[in-house]
Amino acid sequence: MADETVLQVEGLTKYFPTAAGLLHAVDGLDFSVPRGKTLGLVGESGCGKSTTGRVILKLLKPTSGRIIFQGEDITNYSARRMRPLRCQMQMIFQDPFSSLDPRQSVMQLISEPIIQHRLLKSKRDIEHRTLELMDTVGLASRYINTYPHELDGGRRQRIGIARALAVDPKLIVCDEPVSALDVSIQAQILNLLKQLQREYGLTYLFITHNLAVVRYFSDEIAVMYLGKIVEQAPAERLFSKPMHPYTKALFDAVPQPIVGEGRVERQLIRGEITSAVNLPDECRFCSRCDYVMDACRQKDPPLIEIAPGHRVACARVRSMGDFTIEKTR
Amino acid sequence: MKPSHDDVLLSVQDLHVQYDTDAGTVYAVTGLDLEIQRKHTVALVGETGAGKTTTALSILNLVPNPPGVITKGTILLDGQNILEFGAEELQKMRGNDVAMIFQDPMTALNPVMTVGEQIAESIALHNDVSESEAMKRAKNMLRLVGIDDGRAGEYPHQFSGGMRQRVVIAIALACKPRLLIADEPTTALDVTIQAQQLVLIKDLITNGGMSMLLITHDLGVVAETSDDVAVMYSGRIVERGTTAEVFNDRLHPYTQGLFNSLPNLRKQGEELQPIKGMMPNPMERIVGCPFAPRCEHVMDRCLKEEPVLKEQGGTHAVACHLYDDSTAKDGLHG
Repeated sequence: MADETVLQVEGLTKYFPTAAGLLHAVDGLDFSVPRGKTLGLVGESGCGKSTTGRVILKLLKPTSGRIIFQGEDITNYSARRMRPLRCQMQMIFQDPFSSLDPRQSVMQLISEPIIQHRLLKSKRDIEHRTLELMDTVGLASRYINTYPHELDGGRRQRIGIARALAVDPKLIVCDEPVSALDVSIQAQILNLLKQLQREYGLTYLFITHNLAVVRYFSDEIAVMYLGKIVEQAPAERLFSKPMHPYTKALFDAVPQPIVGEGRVERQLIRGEITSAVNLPDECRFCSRCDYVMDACRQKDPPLIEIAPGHRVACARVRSMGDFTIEKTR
Repeated sequence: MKPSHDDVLLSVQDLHVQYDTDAGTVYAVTGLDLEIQRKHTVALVGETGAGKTTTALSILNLVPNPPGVITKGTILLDGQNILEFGAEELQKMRGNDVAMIFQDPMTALNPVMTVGEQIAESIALHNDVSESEAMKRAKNMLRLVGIDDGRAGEYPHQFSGGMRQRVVIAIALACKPRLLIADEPTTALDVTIQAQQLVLIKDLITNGGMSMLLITHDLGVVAETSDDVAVMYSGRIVERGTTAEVFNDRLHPYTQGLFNSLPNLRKQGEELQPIKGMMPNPMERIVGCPFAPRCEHVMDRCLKEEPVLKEQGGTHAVACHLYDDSTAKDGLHG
């Protein structure tokens, strides 16, 4: 059971029609997540990471590709057929301020999924389970009759986590679960999510723009740029041997809380992420890349495995094997 | 070395700000002391609710009143107490001597004015120049922040988030203020854009010989840009010093806790060590040290007596009873 794949996606795409043309939000993703593990999905705004999470949960209909959940191809499942599966795949949202109904008490919020999915019937059982869930996520029972606006961000996010856990899920898509929180609270929530993963064998798809958080949290990391995975590797490998110029640029962009000794000089990239509408067949990172060459403009490079579990989509990496190369501009 | 009097651009002394609301009084800033030297960047670090933004607004005398009231303190800009300024003097100071960059570039710009007009507006307000001269200078500012001046006639919605923030920077620096207050200037931006903006702001500040008060919760940003740091907790400064002093020799248990909460990018850490609990309710008057309920080193004295900022050598100062006598200091470092 250890290596059992909980989630697998093949050639997953999601295009949105816009006035200017087709927006390639998600453009051909392949990955799988084994049980009890975490796949981190990192990238900047507009790279398609949140859309990916929503398509996987069938909150959006994929344009093409397949989504296989615990061996079952759910790509074309109707809302009715998805319903029993909803208990097994849950989501934790970024903003604990807007994702909770302000008119519901903590009791109502946490018991709602239990009642919706008819997991328990008697009022006593439901209340008992709600208190148990509150305890699991570290929310003191005295808050049971409070409302979201009375609580701070950290406690609100704990409610969101309790709601997801209420139905005993196998897979949780965490979409920026700590970005709205202060660092000291952030650490509390990250520790909680990790502890829950150990206790319940949860599988996470962890979507974030924060590289330090994704490294702390993930077994494997996929870096996305304009709808595509440009590099994917086990977490340690990606941080010790980043290959794609974009991955390196992302690492360098994070300011380090280090003064004096141990401080690393950074190389910054120019420009901003471009629009994903009507993309030409060339490397999507071309316009910002310091290592661009002719081959980059002729064809969008495919994702190639360069070491066990380490895949990179870069024309240079393919031709040179390694990335010790002079800048071209 | 202690800065001489002439080196100090801004000096805030014993500042108290409160908001009188229907639910009660919120004590946002409670006895804050802060100094900014000429050509220095000082980072004001702390979490949501620490009083960072209220401090910044106080320096511009812009605390919304009601419900906000500055109840006590002085704010000296080049020796003049701005809290005693009349409306006209304030108008002259804001934007001209002290300018501010806000967190959200989306809401800081006027959607129905071209970016050129918005920069020129602030130039014309503070300088006796013709409209065309103001626009000429505005275009010059656009070039300085890395935007083609041919885009001066475009509207904010035609720019990306990063470009809009550049426009905001151009407006703030158009009148060459002596002090720039930047309130979380890069928080709303992506990391790669964030890094570009910080370099840009830092360069412009350095070249213009300006001082900056940078408000942030991001310790990485502090290390990147600031000469000095002041750590704020529950309305007051609990530790200050040069960035090297504070980062390499963290004294206050809260400062230590902030660093321990950070997941490390360069090496994969084990369990994070969050600070337990939450910041105290700002509607309660605190007796003793505000950090005491969350502090691992709490002593009887901390619950009764509020510690004051005391220098520990150099410019490094901390408000914590642990450092009051040398015996207690052992075993705390690390």
